[in-house]
Amino acid sequence: MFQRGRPEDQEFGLAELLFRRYLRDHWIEGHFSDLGFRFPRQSLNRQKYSEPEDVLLSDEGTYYNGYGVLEFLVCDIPTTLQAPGTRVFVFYPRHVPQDLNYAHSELWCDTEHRTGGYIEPKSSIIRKQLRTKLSQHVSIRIPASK
Amino acid sequence: MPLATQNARPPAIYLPLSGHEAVAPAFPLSLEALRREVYRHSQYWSVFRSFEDAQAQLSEFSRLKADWDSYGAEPPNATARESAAQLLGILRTSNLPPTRVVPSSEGGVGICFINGEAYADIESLNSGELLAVMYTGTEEPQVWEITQNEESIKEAVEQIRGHLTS
Repeated sequence: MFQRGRPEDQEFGLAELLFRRYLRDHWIEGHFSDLGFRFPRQSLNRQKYSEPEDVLLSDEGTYYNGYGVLEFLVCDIPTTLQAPGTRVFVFYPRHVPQDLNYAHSELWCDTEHRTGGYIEPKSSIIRKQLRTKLSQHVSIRIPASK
Repeated sequence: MPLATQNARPPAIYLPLSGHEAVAPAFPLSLEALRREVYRHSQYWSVFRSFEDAQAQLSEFSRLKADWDSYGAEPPNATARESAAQLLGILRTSNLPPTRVVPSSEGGVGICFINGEAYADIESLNSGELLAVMYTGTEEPQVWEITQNEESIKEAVEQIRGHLTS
């Protein structure tokens, strides 16, 4: 888990899994609700450098009791989205390693011209579209009890 | 014949009690069990109960703290909660009970509807915006913004009802 001087690795395979904690409230009758996703720079752990249960460990070494772990594939992230009257936005996973969590990654977005920075769409419709499309492909890896 | 003898109970009808006889309860179900039975068989009470649950869930959200989802989510503010309460009122008059009311990680309140593979929600955000989404399975979701007035909300409610029952 520790970074130990390892560099960023921006090579994500399409079949690589991404993990995230979730609460039982957002798993409703076999659906993961988009309401369990937050838009800006959503934190994820990548499969290449971690196990699913690693997202249940905090930086302080404590355990997130009761939370579950969900997963989705890199290829489940919609590559582009556009709402009426807005620019085209692209979405991709970005490896953002932390000292105590080398696998830490974030869901980034940019304009189609690829500025290389994080450009967030102002349109709440695009944000909800993204959250919904992700939620449609989520699987539960460790069920939540909280 | 003396009066006491005339008033005595005929022993053949009323046998003397030993005090250890089992007494059958007048109501075989507890009140709570009886209430559950009534709810189980009554569409009206089932809908009524759904709205009671939704209202109770919503009132719990005022106690959420910042970072309630462990990823830094803001708790639903008064704007989002009041808007969700208004929405629940419209849903009640439209007779469309929600499946669940949940806090949104984006900051706000979400009212969810599910019927098998069909999913829909209306999200009341802390910013005051109202967003709706509906989809079936992994089909392309339909997302739209709802204007904050009763007519637009009722229109969205009917769209969701149509989606859930189609």
